[in-house]
Amino acid sequence: MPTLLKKALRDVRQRLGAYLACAMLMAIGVLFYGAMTQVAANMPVAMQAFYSEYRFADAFATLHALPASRLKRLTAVEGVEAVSGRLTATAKVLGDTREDTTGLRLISYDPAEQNRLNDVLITEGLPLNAGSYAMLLTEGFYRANGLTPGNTLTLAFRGRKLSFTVAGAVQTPEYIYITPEGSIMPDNKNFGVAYVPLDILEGLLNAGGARNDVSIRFKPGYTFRQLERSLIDALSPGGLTRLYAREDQASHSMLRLELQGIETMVSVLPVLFLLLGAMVMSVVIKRMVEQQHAQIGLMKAFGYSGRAILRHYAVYGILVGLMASIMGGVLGALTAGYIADMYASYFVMPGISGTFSFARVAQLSLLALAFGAGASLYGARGVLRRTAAMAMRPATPEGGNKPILLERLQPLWRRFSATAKLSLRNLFRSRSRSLLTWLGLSICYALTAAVFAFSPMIEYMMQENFTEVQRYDYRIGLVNIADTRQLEQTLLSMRPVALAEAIAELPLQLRAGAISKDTALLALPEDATLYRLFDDARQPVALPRAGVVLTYRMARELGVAVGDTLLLDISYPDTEVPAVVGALCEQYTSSYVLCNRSYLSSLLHGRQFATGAMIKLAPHATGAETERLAQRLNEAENVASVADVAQMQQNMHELIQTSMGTLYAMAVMAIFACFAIVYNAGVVILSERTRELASMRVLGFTLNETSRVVAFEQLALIAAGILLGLPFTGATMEALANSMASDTYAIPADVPFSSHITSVLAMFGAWLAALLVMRRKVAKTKMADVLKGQD
Amino acid sequence: MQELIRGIDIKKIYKTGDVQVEALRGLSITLYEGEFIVILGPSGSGKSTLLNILGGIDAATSGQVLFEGQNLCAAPERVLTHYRRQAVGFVFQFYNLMPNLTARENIQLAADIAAQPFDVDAMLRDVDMSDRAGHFPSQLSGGQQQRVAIARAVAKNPRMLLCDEPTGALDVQTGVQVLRVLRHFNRDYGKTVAIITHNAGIAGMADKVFTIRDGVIAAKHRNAHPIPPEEVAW
Repeated sequence: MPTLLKKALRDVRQRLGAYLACAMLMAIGVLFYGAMTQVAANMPVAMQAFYSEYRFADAFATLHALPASRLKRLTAVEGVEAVSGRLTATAKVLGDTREDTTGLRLISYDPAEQNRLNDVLITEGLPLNAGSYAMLLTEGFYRANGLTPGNTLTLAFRGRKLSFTVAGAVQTPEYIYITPEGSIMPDNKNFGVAYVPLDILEGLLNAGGARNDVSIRFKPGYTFRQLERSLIDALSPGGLTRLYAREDQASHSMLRLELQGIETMVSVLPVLFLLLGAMVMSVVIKRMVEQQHAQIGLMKAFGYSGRAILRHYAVYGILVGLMASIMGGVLGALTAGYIADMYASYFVMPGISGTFSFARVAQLSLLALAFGAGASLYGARGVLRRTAAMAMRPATPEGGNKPILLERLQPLWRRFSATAKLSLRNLFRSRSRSLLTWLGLSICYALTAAVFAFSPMIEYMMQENFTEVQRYDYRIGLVNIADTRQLEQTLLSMRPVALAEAIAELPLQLRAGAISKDTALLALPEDATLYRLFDDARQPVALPRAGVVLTYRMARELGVAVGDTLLLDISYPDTEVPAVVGALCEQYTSSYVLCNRSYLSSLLHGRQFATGAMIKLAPHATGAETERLAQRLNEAENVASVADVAQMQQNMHELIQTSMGTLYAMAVMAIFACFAIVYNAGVVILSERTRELASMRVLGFTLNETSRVVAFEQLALIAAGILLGLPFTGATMEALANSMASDTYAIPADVPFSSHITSVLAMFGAWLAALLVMRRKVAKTKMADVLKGQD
Repeated sequence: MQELIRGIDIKKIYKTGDVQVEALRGLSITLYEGEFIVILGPSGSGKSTLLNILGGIDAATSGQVLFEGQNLCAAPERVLTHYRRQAVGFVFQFYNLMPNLTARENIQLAADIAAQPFDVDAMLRDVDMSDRAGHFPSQLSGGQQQRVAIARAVAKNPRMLLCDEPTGALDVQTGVQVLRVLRHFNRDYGKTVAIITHNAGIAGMADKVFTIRDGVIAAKHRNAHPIPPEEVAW
């Protein structure tokens, strides 16, 4: 083994703690990459393979009723390769308790159809047979409810009770990610999709050969934009209510957003941790080079070139990179499966695997080695500048003996004790070390605060949504439209309903110049009390008499402001009207365009109707009364869906809790990063000050008094790190919120005060832990040995 | 003269792996208040080890060090810290000043923790460093640094000054200056001063001289007429 390599290995062994801390910081980067990269790599591949094999459609249409003859004609449209017509409807599952509001989306399944679009992969059970009251359920719902083939589900469907046998579980490209109406997260326990034989659903809906849902696949080279017009023409006779591209399909757009998030996480986080590790590494190496000045001088005197010595110090970084690769690789291999399972629970499709890829980890390991070597070269660069004779002498402190800034404030400076002065001068005179440590600590603070902000932020979002915006207890959707007054009166006649407000929800396309956007219009009563709007400062927004209210995000996308005019393309009834943007509002869990009901009726030439209603129960409603009401709503013929807000809130809360494991893991990593930086700063301070600290002990300073010098210096760095971390946290949250915002939901970028407190506590915790280690090191220092020699 | 500190049958064994080195082999010594003592001996004879044990910065393997009736060898770290803080002033060959504190602040550092410290400016005057009070160690010569180190040791108003080769790194002229300062504190402040050195010339200044060889006191004699520092032969 080359002699210098032996020296490097022994040096690393001597300061193993410091080098391990650097390596572990880098290892977090490798771990992230190792655990996530395979998911990131195979999710898009799995998605494409699934889409292709199960013929995921390029466009989707919802209609009133398209006759079978018209459906066939669609295949003649230029650019259309295949068409599948289906029937869809909603039903409620009657559960063990009468107030259960479990919903199912029913989709017809023709066992005889060849090459059907949006086909299903049966993962358990048997295919459906025509004429049987059987259903295939999406896997999430099937598993969450502990179903097995042969179980029976009783459905409330348009006033009838129907029993279906569970045939099995399926996966489909159309519902990789399923969310119930009005929710942003999957709720597999209470919402799913059921495929039932076409002839059965046809009979139940009296469809008579017509279809209300059409999927279209394009020939290669054709796009939605190119075919949109001709598709509208072909589908309009069936009462087209919505035509949209694959990009706007709920499951696909969520999946795309998630893939984008994973991509960002895989490319940003590992590099960030490698960078943090490298920063600390360069500080450690710089200090070691200062300590080994005599050895360097000697090597130069022997004839080693500056470059050769620099190469020698690069080996330290390579060794650290190697340790990081091994540790991160092993941890990555252990966690890859867990990460894959977590994604597989959200995104139901075949092929999500967390197989550990050594090849991919090897790529990042090379990067870790490069970061390590680079950090060492940066830390040791001073070697080149010094001659042998210069190197033999101790280096002059960076700031020389010039007074530091604080010394100019004499009244303040005089108040400091000699030990505090000692710490402060050291801090200001080791500028590059202090700056790097400061920066590292502020990044860690921002990371920790952002991670801790995430959970309260989602909770806040839910709280705002379920208590401030949606103030109702139940929301129902109707099968057929109803008269608003009549609907409200009917609902008010039911005990224990205290308040009922009819609403109209319609598919809508907004157009501003060349930009168009598919969304939904929600018309509320003019004096609505069960649904409130707020601006970005959480101030109430009044529903304008005329015009519509957009979300800030939507207004940004369309490039419009309050007072501008938009074109509203309301599909049902087919109307195209201009409308003024009356106000803007913030919506966290939806992106409705809102208006008042009378304005909508004026747009639709006096036509008044409701597609659903919001219901508030009397404050002292008993459980039995509530249960009876839920049962009546569930069994009502014209009620398509019943959403129980309390249940939704609870489900959401449970879902958030299940995803906390990942957040806690990230928080632990961020706190560890704080500890590693504070610890290494301490190690460096200690190595610089061993002689001074030993002198203090000899003078009669107690162990605590001596340790206080190190503590004060670290504390000053931490305080500065927190101060700089505050704006960093804001920027991190802003970036996170922007990257996660979608048409379905917006995440508030505010960082709760509690997250700052938690982050500050984490920093101080890391400081205390590091301090205990430092104190032990100070106690172990042999005063006589240290003070005997010359530096 | 009143007894200040007594070492009885002190043994010190250093163990490195399987190798054992016996630095002190049952050495006994007594220092008295106000004495100027020189401990002579070749390198490796155990004189630094003795000084460290007497000063409470190293522990004896066996034996006793009695100070005011208390055995320091059996004392906990808290007692040793208090002992070093109130009773001992150390002076080392390589000064060991705080590089980031000025001369004055270095002395202040020691004065801050003592129960009855001397005035810092008086100390600076005593070592003739008043005009360099605001200088950092790197701006001072070796002799000047050592004088500040002595002033720092004395500023605590300790009972004894233990000096490990205080002139070892200095030339003759600055060495004499340092010895003069030590003598001044011994004579004018009544502090016990113990110097270990391999420079036999310094022995002429002492009231009492101990010679250590192979971990034991090989010789001891009293100077009837100690010479002034200026007459020390280097």
